[in-house]
Amino acid sequence: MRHTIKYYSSVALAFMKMSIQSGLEYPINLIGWILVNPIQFIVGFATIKFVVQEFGSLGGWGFEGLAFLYGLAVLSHGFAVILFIQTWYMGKGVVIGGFDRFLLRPMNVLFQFLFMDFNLVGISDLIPGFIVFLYGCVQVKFHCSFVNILLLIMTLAGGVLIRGAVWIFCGSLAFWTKSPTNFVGFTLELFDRVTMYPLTIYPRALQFVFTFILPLGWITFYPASELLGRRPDYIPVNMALVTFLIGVFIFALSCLVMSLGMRRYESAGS
Amino acid sequence: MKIIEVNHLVKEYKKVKKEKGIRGAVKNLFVQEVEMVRAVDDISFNIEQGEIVAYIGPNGAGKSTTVKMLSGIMRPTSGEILIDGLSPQKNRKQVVKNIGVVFGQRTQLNWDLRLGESFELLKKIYEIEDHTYDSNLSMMDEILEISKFMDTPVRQLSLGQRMRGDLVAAMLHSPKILFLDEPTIGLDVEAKYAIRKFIKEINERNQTTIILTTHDLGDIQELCKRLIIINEGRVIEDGSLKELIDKIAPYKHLIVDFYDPVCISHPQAEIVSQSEARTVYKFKKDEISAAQLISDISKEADIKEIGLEEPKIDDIIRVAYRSKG
Repeated sequence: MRHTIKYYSSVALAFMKMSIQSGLEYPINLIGWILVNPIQFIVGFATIKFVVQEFGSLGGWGFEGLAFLYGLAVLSHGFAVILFIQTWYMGKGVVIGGFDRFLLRPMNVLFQFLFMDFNLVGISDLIPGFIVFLYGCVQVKFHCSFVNILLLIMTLAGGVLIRGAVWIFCGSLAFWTKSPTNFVGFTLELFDRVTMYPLTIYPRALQFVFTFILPLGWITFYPASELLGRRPDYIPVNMALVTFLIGVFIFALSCLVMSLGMRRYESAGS
Repeated sequence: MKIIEVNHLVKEYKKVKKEKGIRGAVKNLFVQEVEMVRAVDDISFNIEQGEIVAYIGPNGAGKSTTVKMLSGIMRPTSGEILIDGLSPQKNRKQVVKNIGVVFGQRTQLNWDLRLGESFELLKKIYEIEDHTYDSNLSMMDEILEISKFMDTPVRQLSLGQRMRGDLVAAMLHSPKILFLDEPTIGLDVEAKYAIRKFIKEINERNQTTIILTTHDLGDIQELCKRLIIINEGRVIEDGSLKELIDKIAPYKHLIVDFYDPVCISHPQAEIVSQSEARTVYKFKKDEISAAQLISDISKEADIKEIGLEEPKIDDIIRVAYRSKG
């Protein structure tokens, strides 16, 4: 058992090292993204500032809370893009036989798939994310206690797992349809609209959907509410904790679906 | 010792009959005519440790499909496969430790990084000991000269270099069995020579069993004592090259250049062509020997030059492909 853990950790580390090296092989690509990507966040942020200036608040949230929320969303997106970018290409992988090389190695296939890519270019999301989030923290006078930091980490972990899970569900469809399904663009749009702004700006029906059916509201809105002391009285649990639990659960479910899909996988091409 | 056992292997696909045009495409959305295609149709064979076997057949015969099932990346519809006593479907991780696979048209190397990085990764994945890793690399370097381009990024390697890299990658963990799918495709003579030499070496040194899928007749002649020919998913021949030749084309051609334009016939030889002073005879090996034929003919006329031709391999194989076994 100990040997297995040691083995898998050393391979995961090797994968990560190689991915980073691959990213560095194309420095212009990396720098290009780091320079250009933040523009969308600057614009998004400016939009919020404008809205608050014009209308006073957004969904009941003032500028400070909105900055905090927005920053958290970008941060969570950045980590998800670094860790799970390979899920975007699952559809294509299934159709061209991309999983063959995993099957030919004496390691768990799901593990190889999840750990093989560490997308360095995701830094272009993380850097602006950190900046905006820290600005937001300062604005809301976020109390950096040990507990709060822990809850923050759990929030990010949960959010990243929820995002990854959605991508894995979408990508796994390809195992059954055998076509290069690609819903990534759609999911990114959806994530942005639900995680960057308070859920309360949407009609109750949608709020319900994103709370109980497709738990996107738990990626940032609910844990952020918790961290900012905005938890409603009728909720007895710590919402950041719930986010983490939901993330773990839904991610495990998506892995199960992917494993089932892998059983149907047939190497393609010659 | 049987290292590969294949029993009644079958692979079926559902193939949707597509009709042409837009009308056909729309119709396909509602009604689908499905036919079952048997890519592999009841194949059985056994391979002993240390054999080099050519697994050949026309395009679409089912060769790659068979290899994929043997290496565990595709599930059979029915039938049994045992690799060193284990099923690649049920014991994938265990089986995979003992096989190496090279697909001629695809690579398992990391495209962006230097060749050596891919090897280092494999060292970790297969848990190869340092001394084994070093000695394997140096052994392969002797024949394939990979140290020359170990530091080159894989995307910059020529096809020949990349194939060599893939071969090394497949052998690093000292597998007992090597599956090579078109390993010499598109390579120049020098590269082909190096790869064939390598295959012979590892087979001799380590008793590595090698299954070679190829269209290259040079590969077959140079390397393989045994040939399994499949067509339309079925085995149509299984034996040595010599046996195949004796079965399909058990004759030779004798080209005789006389001093004068003569026409000498022989009861046990057929005259294939005759022009001026050159006559080409066709004779059956088991009916008369070349030496006897030459001696008989020389009694009738003076012979200037003689040439002896073996039947052409590609003609034999073409005939084999056409037969249904």
